[in-house]
Amino acid sequence: MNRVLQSLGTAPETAIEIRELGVTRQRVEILKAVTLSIPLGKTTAIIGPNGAGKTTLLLALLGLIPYTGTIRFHTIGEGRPVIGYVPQRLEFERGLPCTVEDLMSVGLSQKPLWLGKRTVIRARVHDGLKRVGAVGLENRLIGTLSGGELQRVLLAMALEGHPHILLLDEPTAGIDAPGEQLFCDLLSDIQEQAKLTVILISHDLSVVSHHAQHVICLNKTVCCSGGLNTLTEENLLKTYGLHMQLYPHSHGHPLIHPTMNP
Amino acid sequence: MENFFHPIYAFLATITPFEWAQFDFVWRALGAMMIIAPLCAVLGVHVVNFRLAFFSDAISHSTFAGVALGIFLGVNPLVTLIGFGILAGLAITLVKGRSDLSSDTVISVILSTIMALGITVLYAQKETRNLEVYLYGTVLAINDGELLLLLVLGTFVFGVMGFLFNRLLLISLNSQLAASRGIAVRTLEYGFSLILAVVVTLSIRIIGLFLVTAMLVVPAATARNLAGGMAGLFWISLFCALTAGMTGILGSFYWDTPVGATTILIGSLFFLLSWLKGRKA
Repeated sequence: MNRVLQSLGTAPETAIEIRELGVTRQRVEILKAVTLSIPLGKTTAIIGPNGAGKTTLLLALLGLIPYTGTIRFHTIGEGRPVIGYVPQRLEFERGLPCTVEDLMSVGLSQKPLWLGKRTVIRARVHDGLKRVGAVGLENRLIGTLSGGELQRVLLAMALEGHPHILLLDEPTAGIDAPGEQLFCDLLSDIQEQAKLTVILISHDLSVVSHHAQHVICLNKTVCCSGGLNTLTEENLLKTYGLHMQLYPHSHGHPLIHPTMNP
Repeated sequence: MENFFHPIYAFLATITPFEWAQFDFVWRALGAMMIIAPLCAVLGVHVVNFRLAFFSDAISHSTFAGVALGIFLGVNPLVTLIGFGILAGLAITLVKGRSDLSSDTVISVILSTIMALGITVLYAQKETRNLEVYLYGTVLAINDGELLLLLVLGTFVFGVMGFLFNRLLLISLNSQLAASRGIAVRTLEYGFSLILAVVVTLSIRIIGLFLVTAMLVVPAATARNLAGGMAGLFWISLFCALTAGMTGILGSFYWDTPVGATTILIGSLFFLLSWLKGRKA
């Protein structure tokens, strides 16, 4: 049963409240009794091993798959909030002659690309790219972009609709370390300016520990949730089923590695 | 109908200083090609994006069984042909959605089943001359009624495809992203498959069922080698299809070759040139 309920006057600092969420697809139970709340105006990271149902949870939030239980949004007074979705990747062959401007116009205008783009649309694409520090990419083919560049373009597309909530699926998966830092800093800036509620899925615990204020450990159901201090060895063991530790990094950043001792 | 179209052909004949221009059937063929070639080009862009080349091959080749059955039962093969084309499209989509097998496996199973059925039915009769009409296409035998039907359907489909162009592009790039932006992904995917089935079956009369997929894929593939943006992809694809189609008809007149095959050979020549140019760049 698909139920999206709205604010009933609960604590204002909660953006989304999920109760007893369950998803079963092709007779496989993917999520079970997921109960959690996402804080308003903060960055929440969803971590967990492969196949833990992280992407499924995002799809349920987007309302794209059937689920049981309830999801309540408290971001705005009435109805469903605008959710900006930044997918992990695009599926295309490198030969597809689609420029960044083509891609972004598709989200902005119904007018078929082959009838040309209006000046207004071109200007909006330019502004959108400026917002994410990607001006100059307009005429590049999407197949020639680096992972970080494509991620910024996808972010610009998601921001175009002035979302209340931003969902990012593995935003740093295809990006090198400097690009990752750049992207996360950009995300923090945008979040602060627009008071966005950000939810990101990540494999990369170092990204999580740097850029999230709230963590949810997911493996079919919620294993733990809370502030960054939730990332204890015990909780990570519970989520991943093997020992993970935060190690002090040479630059002073903690890193997390699996350890082999049982 | 004859009265409506004939003066147009007569007028065109007076302003065109070539031998072929005095024949109405050449004008009808050119008219039909001017509708079908752009339609194939427009759909072909998406067929390549969605990797549906094998799917459209399956639809066109499945109509073979429709033709065989039509001849066997003594009904107009055009009716059974369209029926089998749509039936194959629906069967593939249905089985694919309810199976863990990859789509090329599902397509292959259904295509072989329908082909085997067609051959079995065909074996039961001696007279197969009618069949060749559909295998190779007979644009030169098209009549005014069919031309009018093509014009109406073609204009409608062209309009719908213009409306859907941006949405289909986004679906092909990431269907979840498209869905999150309020695009009815499932409906449009089914809708596109249906339109594809209809256009493929309509084109069989012109190009022949062996070569319909080439008319979809070759111009779009050529355009991919040359275009620097999606608008370029569309227009180059359209230009290639139209030029190949027109020269195919007129070339067949001078060289005494089949129209469909001549069209595709010219299209393939365009592809070869575009590929060489693309490699150099």
